[in-house]
Amino acid sequence: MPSSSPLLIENNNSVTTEASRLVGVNKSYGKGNLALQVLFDVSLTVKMGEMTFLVGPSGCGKTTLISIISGILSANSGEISLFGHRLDTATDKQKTALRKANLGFIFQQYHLVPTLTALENVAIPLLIDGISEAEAAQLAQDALHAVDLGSRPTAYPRELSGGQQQRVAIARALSRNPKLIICDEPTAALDGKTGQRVLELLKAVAVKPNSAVIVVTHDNRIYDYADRIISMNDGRIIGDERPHSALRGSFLPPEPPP
Amino acid sequence: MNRTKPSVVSAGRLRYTKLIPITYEYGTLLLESVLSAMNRIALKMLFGDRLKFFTLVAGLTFSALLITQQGSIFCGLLKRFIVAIENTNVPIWVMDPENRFIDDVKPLQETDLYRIRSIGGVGWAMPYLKRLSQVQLPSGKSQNVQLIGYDSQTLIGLPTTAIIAGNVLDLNSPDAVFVDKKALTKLAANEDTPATIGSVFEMEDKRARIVGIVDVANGFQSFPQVMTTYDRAKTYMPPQRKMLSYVLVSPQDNQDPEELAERITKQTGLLALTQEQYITRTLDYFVHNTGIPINFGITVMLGVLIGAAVSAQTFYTFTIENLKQFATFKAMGASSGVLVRMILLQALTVGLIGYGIGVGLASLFGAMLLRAGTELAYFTPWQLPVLCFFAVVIVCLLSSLLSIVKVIRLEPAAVFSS
Ligand SMILES: Nc1ncnc2c1ncn2[C@@H]1O[C@H](COP(=O)(O)OP(=O)(O)OP(=O)(O)O)[C@@H](O)[C@H]1O
Ligand SMILES: [Mg+2]
Repeated sequence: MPSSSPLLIENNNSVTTEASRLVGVNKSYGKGNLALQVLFDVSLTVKMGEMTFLVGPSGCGKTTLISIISGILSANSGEISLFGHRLDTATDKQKTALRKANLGFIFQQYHLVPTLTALENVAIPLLIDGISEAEAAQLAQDALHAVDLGSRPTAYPRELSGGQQQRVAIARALSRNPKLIICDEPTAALDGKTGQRVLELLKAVAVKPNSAVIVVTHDNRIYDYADRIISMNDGRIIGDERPHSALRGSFLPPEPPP
Repeated sequence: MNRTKPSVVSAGRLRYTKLIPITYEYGTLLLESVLSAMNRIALKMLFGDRLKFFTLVAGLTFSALLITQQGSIFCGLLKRFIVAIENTNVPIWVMDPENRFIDDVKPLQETDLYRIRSIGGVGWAMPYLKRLSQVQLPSGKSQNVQLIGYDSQTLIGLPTTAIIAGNVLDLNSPDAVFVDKKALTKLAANEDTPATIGSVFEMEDKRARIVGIVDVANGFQSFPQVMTTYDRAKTYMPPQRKMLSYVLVSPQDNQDPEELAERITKQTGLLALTQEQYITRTLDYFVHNTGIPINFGITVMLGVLIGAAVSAQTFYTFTIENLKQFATFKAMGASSGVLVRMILLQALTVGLIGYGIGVGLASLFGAMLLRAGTELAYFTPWQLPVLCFFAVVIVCLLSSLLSIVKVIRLEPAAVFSS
């Protein structure tokens, strides 16, 4: 399954560029006495060509962390880079531009616009970029095709199953060919089988030598698809492992979920 | 394609089945050429939520309808107060200083007429009589009428352009009077045959014969109007010391009417006003001394408030429900400006539709009144729909304000909260 395995070897040799790098990041919500620190001195590097999982108990700060990685939330201290660009010193405008150029998002609740067709939903990021409509329609159709929904461009979200809706969301995240896709609980609303299929698809279409995927999840049924699993607890990183060694991953079938 | 001669059936089919897609297609093309893709997406989001869309349009329609309809009734009433002044159409009115509006006649002495004529700068000064009188109908009932008398030689003040039957010269013959259209039914000898030219009736025990018909709007009291010469009008009234109601004046060519009016006021102790000043005085009285404007004001304000509340509430829920999507757009890099434009477009679109339907319904209401020939005053000056338009736009902007603030404040991080 993981066609990206040769890359893993390369990754282990650490020659690829980094998608994201965090050094000593602290984050609190609120101010003064009411301040609640949720991230403590988090340092982390996300590599290209990998699907990185971020796991941990509820409230441990996973969502906060990916919000900071993607530059839609500011940290209180620490260094944050996205594809070599510093986010902690960037203006909102610069961060928005970086997001536009590099990121795709996938959410637990899909966040599709119910009154727009699949194709229109997928085209939105492109339209936001100011791409011409004809071109946007073509690219969106290609993206739908990549998630096996090429035959349903005119379907409305309510006419699609949960898995299909999440695939539309994947197509939307893919449509402008981002280098990093960030997913928050992408399978939480799906049943086990569907969740696995969605993840498999995501890995196949989104993890390439020059791109990476970060998946925040509770769902241990999909841990198999992870190239790397980072565990968090109480705002700290407590574990960082590669479930299959690079060589194992490329030659052996994945182990069944625990 | 099958190229046969078009039959009635195919023509019909074209009309009903093709016209809608054709209109739709051209409409879409038009939209595409005017609106950016994101703006059209905003419209699709709006139209897609049918229930909210209709609630929004209904709220704004209600406001627009109420503003235009109540406003028209109000303006209709205002117009009734001044219609007699406008119909008479002379540069200067001279009256008793206590006079407040045209039906509030405080008679003058006929010598006042001669005093005014002797004032420098006066081109002409004519008597004008306006009093209530009574017609005795053959049935034994009596009918109040508005009796108007014009200068016997010149008939100055008679709305000659509104004459729809008869000739002014006929007023020279004995007992001759003009009446307005409404009088024809009210003064009919019996209910089946309305009065017409040549009909005769009794007024204060004196014979009157209809020789002409005038089509003028009703005054505030809305009695049938009987018009004749000043001298004959006096004979249709119980004898009184003072008969003259107003003196109508025109300045000499080189005279400013306002200056002349001031001079007449100063020299006679009477009140002389230009037509415009008199209209203003009348409206002032109406606005300050009757409860009517307040009542209308309250109704209109209530309508606007209810419409605004309904649409603001609906619009806010609409935005809240779309907040996740807006946050997603933001996370994907859409600026607040783009989102605010989308919201404004949505608000103004429902506003325009609601305005159109509301003003349309109000006009329909007016047309129906006109057709039914009711006495309800209904007058829509062009300013009213314009005012209504701005009111609706303001309501829309206010309604969307909450949503706009919400979207501007929206942190893209909100995308991740489930
Ligand atoms: N906007 C906020 N204001 C204040 N506190 C917040 C805010 N967002 C999150 N928190 C708090 O920060 C902590 C970490 O939240 P976060 O959403 O990052 O956790 P999580 O690991 O994603 O949890 P879950 O698995 O339940 O999604 C929690 O205690 C949460 O209550
Ligand atoms: Mg979370």
